[in-house]
Amino acid sequence: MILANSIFVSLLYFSKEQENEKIAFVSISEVYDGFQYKLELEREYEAIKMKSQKHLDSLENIYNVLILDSLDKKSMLEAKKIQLEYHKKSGEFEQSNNLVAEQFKEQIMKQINQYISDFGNEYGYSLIFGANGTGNIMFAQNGLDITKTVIEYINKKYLGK
Amino acid sequence: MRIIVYIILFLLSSLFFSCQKENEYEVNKEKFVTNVKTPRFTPKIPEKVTVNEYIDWVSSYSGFNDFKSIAGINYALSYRPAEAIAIQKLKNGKITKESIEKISNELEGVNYFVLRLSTNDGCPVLEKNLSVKEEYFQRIQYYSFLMENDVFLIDGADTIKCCFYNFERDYEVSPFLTVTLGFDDIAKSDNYQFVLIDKVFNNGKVIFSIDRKLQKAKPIINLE
Repeated sequence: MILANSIFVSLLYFSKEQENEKIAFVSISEVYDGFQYKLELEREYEAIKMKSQKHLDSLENIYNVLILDSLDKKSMLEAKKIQLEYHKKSGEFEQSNNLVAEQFKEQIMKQINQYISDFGNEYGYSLIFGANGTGNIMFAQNGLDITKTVIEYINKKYLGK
Repeated sequence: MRIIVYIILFLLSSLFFSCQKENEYEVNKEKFVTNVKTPRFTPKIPEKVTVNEYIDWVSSYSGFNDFKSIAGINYALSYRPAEAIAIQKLKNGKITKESIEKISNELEGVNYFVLRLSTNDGCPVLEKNLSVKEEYFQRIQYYSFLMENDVFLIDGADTIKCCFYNFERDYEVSPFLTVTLGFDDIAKSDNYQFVLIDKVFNNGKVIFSIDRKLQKAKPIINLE
């Protein structure tokens, strides 16, 4: 009798626990790529890169003109100066572009994390896994993949809707 | 004997379920705390209100107020209708229909907003995550003079910079960092966006979508 009662209580407990738990997963790369802010910052980053590339291209053009058109000592010295400036600027641009890329990535991840957390709270999820394609999730039933819903949600949230 | 066994079983079961309830609370505690922090706004528009009720309604109406939290920083945006500003200005004098109308007309053509920044853990915004002490003063400098360049409205294809900007320096007396902003109302589309680029905490673009129809809500202020 005691055993039967214990089994009954245990079953009731576990079924209740399972009822409460809502678990799902999202594909991290898909969410990242589908996030509108990421696309906006990607365009912004390309524009920054292009601007610095244009600056370098103009320096390269000046250098080529100086090297090809005249062979006097003064022009050679001038070309050498331009070459040095090119290398200096190239390094500076690379450094600042990398910094911008890092800052943009941080902004994107902060917003994605926040909106997924908002999604989880709003829809009562106990756990949302992030699948990154390296085998952290080997199998999941179709219904557990909420990537598309999450992308839609985070884009709405981002736009303040 | 059997009765004693049943009583013991009953007591054990009760104990078991009470523990389970406690665990559920423990699990949901964080969620509960989060929900408390997120303000709830009302979509209701009352027909007639007193002056005090109107002021309370302005700060709780969902058409005027919005809230966003990103990485521990809370952003609360409140639209201030001209009538509310007029009442605020008249609070030491006589509030009449005419005096409200007079000030409201003077304010026409500009949309006023109050932006409040706070942190999830109650730490003053100016002191949150400081890497060096100088950063505190850099933040004051930024919020006093430079932030206005990182706040704008997007109405249709137009970007509107603020025409009025005021950072309230309160020496961390309140847990909020308050900024009052004014933008020329060009009234192009039904919806427009309030955009803030958070450069201090590198949270990126913080967007609030504003419905112009909801913004036009005007309950009658009972002045008798």
